[in-house]
Amino acid sequence: MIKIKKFNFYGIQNRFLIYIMGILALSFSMSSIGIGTIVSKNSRQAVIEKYEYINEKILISLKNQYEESNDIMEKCIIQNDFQKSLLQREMTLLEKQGVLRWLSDINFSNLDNYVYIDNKENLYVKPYEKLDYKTFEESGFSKLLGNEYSKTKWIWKEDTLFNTGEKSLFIGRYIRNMDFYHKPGMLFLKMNNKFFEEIINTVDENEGNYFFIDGNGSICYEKVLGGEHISEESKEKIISTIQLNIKNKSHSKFYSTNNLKEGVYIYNYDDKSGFTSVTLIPNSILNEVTYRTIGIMLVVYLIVLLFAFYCSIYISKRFTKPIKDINSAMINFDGVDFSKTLDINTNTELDTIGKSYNKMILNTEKFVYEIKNQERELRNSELNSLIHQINPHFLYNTLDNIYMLARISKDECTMKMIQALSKFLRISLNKGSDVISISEEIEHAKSYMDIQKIRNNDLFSYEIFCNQEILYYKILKFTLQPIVENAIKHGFCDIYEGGIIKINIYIEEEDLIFTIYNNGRPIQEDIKNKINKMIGMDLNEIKEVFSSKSGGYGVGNIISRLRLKYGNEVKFYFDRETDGTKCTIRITKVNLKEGNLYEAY
Amino acid sequence: MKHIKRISLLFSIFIFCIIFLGECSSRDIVKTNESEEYEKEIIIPVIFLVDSSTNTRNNEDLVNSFNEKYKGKYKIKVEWMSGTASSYRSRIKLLNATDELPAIITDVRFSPEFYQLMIDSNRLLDIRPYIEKDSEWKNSFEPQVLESCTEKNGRMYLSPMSSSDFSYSGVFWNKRLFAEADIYFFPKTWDEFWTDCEKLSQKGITPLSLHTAGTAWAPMLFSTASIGASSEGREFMKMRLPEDYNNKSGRELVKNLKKLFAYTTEDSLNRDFDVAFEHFSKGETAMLPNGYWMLTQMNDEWKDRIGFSPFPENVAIVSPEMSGWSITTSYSKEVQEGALLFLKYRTLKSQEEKQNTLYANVGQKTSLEMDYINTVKGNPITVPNYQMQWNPILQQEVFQYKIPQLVNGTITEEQFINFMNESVAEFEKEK
Repeated sequence: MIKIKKFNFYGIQNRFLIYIMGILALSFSMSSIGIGTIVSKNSRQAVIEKYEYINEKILISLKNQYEESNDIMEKCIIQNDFQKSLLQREMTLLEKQGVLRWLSDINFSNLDNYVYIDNKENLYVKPYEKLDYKTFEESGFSKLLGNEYSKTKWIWKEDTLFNTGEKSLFIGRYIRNMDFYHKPGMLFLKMNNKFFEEIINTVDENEGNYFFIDGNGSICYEKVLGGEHISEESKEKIISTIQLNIKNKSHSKFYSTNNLKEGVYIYNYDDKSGFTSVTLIPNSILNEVTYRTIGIMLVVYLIVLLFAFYCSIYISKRFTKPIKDINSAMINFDGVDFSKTLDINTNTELDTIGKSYNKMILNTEKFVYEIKNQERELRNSELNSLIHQINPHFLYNTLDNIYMLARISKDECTMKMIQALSKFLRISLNKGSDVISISEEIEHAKSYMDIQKIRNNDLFSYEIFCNQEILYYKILKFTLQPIVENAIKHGFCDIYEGGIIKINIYIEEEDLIFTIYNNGRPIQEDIKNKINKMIGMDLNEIKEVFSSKSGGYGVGNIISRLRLKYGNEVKFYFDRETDGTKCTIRITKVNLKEGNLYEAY
Repeated sequence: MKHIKRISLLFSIFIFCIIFLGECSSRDIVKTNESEEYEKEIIIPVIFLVDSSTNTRNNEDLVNSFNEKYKGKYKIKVEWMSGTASSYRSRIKLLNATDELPAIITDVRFSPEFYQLMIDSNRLLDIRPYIEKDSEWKNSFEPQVLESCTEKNGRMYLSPMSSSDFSYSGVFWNKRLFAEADIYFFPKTWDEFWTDCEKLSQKGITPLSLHTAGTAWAPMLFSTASIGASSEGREFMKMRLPEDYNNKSGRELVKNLKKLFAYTTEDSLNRDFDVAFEHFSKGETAMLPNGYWMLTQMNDEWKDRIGFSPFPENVAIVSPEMSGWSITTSYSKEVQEGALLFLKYRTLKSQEEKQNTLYANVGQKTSLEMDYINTVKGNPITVPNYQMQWNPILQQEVFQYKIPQLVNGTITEEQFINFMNESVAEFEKEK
């Protein structure tokens, strides 16, 4: 199954391309429609005018044929022997031969046959033609010329005269005596079926459909382009329109653009012969130029579109790349790495934005550094202030005295408590560095737990596991104790005995890991989630999470201090277990700046 | 601003749609012949002769003035045909047989059988009803003219000039040549005529311009005029299609006919009128018979050298119907109406011309014109034109082929008369 990638509408470049391509497509569409329409109309008009000219040529050719036939008839009329044939007296044999000779000498192309009937019922035909007056009468030809005095008449009719049975063109005329009012004779010329074809062949253009229609609306000849078909309905329409217009004598030439589904037809009527030449221009020819023009136009437009598309991409990149760089730098800024600055040289406003961004990063870096320093100093000053408030020498001496008194009293419990307290305070009040070795931190936590055990009547026991080689690593002090404190305060709040606290310190891959487990009441889910989120918060926000808690050295404090010391890579999280709560602290070894005690030495 | 942009966009789209739809709309386009569209002027086709000798166009002034008067409504379209009157008549016969006659024909009456053919085959328009309706037109005809053009059944196919005063045929004679022979007046009698011919011949001047082709117009004018002096002769000439020429008048006519050719040019036989005219117009012959119409074909310089006189014994050949023009029936009603208007115009013009010619500006007339006027005013004895009266076989075949034989002596006068009578029989057979 083909998956179609959803087009991404996001981005200045994409939007720009979409708009540009849209505008171009709309412009090209409108121009295509406009040009197409105008070209179509003009090309159709040009084609129609061309075929109008062709049809006129055909008509002229038809007229010429009519005039030629008319001339022949006139020559016959004035010919002496024909005139004599119309007198009262019978002609001599010689005179009759004269008539026959004249008829046989008629030079008219496509003449197939002829017959002359004088006013004494004598027929003059080709030698082999068996035709008599009775047959002539029965053929109906004697009435064909009607009441015309002596006009050359073209008649399209079934050949009942020579009995070929086919429809042919007959040219007939009354032959009258010039001097006397006698019954006229009749002359009929029968043309062969190439007559009309030769008229059509006088024009060079063969691409069209041509018809000849007689005065009665019969199609005498049709030439249809190969592959084309003209329906009977269309032919009927043409014929009826022509007949109507001729009858009304309204138009002698006409073309219609709407009527036929096959195309446009033009007709020219010759009032002398009574025949009409019709040219039907098929739609394929009418629209040929239009289709070709539109095709070329579409190809050109497509090429232009593609060219515009690629040009747009190339040109827009000059502007969108810097914008993307700016965008990318802003997105990827983590608040820790201030080294990634922008280098933008487009000679546009974007250069100003790039420079401003760089300036902003620099200022932000300074600002963050200052804040960190201030925080650190504040913590140090708070601690120092606290230590100064407590006079360590006085305290140590007093604790020694109490120890001595307890020893004198043989109060083992008090002695232990005093020892533990002393250790605890000595490590707490350690002035100077905020980092101590892991062994000291363990001692600190142990001292605290020993005191708490005595106070809470052995509420819990504890275990501490740590590899020897990492005991001398330096870490931020007061890391373990607050967590232990929380374990005792919150984890063992419901029990009176059997509590276990397990502290495990180890190296895993490149991380120094502290885990503090207690088997007391598991931490509440919401509290756990809150605490676990704190490691990713801003330092200001951490204070607000448990803002109402007193103490100041709570989880928030640990997390803040750890973040300030070890950066954002430090991990601090609680896990709620079925039988207790585990706190995990992960510090990457590379962040242990004051490193290995081993290195120190 | 936003609104302006929106309105501009909508307006542009609207304009585009209008243009597009306008271009898209297809409609039946109809074209017609230019002539169909623009030709509201009715064309009336006519054929008139161009005199081959003088190159003058007959009736040109009449046509131009009519066309000017009726511009935009009617137009006489003339085919100017070079030739003689007989060639014109032959052409009309052919055009009739081929059904290509003009709307107006001029010489149809000259051939009685052809005239009859035209009437019998309904080829000519009966103009009587139109004349009866138009009192101005009717009153412009002299009564005898109207009568001579009216058929026995009351119909009228000929529209003549208003008066027969312009239809007289007499003799045009060269005064200068006569003077050379010491002759200063045209002969008043036939004896004087023959005597003058002798005198002229003796002076080396050919007296007569004659011809035999066509219907032998010139010699026949002389010979029919020669019998017109007597009442018997006049009666004979009034006969339409006489059946017998072997009578006193006929014999007299043939005798004079033969005699005439003793005083003419050598190329008179088998030639038509134009040759005779040419001889006369060049001053090579002293006399040529013809009608008023030849007066208009002469230039003014000639008009003072040439005289016109009736035939001896004050005889003039005249048939008012000679000037009759007819309208053919193969044209539309509109064309016929225009043709009628033209005939009426001609009649009225001829009436005017009669006034101007006969009564006005006498002092400005040439001597030739004055001669003609005097001839008309002189109440000549009128003899009908033989062309209106005799059968076509006689005119076209006997005269054409037998007069030369008569002149040569190949046939006698009796034989010639026999041929004349045979033509009657032949004609009767064909009728």
